[in-house]
Amino acid sequence: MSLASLHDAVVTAQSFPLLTGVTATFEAGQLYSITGPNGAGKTSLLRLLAGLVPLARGSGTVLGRDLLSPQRREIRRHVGWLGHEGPFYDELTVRENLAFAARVSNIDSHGIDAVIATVGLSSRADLRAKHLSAGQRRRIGMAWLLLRRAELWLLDEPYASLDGSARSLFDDIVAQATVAGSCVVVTSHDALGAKVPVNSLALRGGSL
Amino acid sequence: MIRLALFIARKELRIEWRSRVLVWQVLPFSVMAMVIAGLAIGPDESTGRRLAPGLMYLIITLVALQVIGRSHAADDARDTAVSVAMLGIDGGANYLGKVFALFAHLVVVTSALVTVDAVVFHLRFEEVLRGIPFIALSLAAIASAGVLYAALTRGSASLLPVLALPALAPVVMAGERTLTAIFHGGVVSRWVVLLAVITAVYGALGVLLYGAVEES
Repeated sequence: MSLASLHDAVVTAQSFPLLTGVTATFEAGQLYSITGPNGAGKTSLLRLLAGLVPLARGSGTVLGRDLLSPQRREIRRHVGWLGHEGPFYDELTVRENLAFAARVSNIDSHGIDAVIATVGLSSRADLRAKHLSAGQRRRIGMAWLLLRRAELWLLDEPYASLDGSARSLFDDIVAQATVAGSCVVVTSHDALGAKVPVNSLALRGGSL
Repeated sequence: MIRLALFIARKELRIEWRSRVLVWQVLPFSVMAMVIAGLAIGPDESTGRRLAPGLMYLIITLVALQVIGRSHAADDARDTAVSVAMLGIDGGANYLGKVFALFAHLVVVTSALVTVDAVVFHLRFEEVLRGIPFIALSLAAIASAGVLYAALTRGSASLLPVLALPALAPVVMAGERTLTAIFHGGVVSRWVVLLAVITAVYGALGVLLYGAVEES
């Protein structure tokens, strides 16, 4: 089942083309790896799929919502996102950050302690995010992905700042999500140590 | 929406409390500004009483701009902006939450300022007490307008004052006139109506437009 599809998708920033005509389909239960050099448009592709940026030309749907309509803003409520630095507020603790995200997203917060344990942050659950290392901050993002259980996961350079054990944990989480039927789209400079088959897409100069 | 707004306000207050900026930087700045203004005006009691309301509102407005900018900076830090955007928070609730939090911050600062104002400019206790509801209304107007302008300017430290100060000028003037009327006699009703209208208009605009403004 297709969760997202793009046809000749063009995204611009101040008239500069970030994506120059991407056509792709993203299926449920599949893992996609988007590779490419700096500035190839990897993050722009994720932002387009998340409904964060508008289509300048072409067409596309994500989770049944048209990227050309105002509906695209609703997409973000239904996708899991992991950005470069890790999410949320420095002055809130790990637990508070997840509780905040769950509450404002109308997601059951009962599983917070469980997902904190899964990502190995139990001993730091009441520590403010600003006191965590970059890798630990990314683990908060992983915990949020687990709590959210989205159909579509968009992960931007998820290996950045992660050590070997965290990478392995991340690979497990992605494999479980894929097996459970989620579509996972990952941008990465590094080869994924994926435990499920990977669909590789190479971006160069804004197109696949 | 209100429950979500209160939840968001609690988050904002918690972040501000933990950063200690309000207590250790904003409060001392505002108190020092008031004391220095008092020293500059000199010991003449009648001059001080005449200028006290205006000085207080001027300092409150400067403090409000500082606090508003900080609140926006917390949302823009590192990857927070995108992560928070991805939560799809209801724009109206987010706006109201930030307004409630800013109002609470301003109440704390203003409590200290009113006390210093009263001591430095020889205001009578019962006058100050009578002014409190009107000061609270002014703070609501500043908060409801300020949060919207913070979104419009992305909390820019240079652009926010340029756009927000003219917009807040009627609030400062109405607040000053209200307190002056209380201290020296006069009609407060028209200024109160103006403050209420400003609060209501910015409040309604904020609830309706904040999400779209943040988005843009």
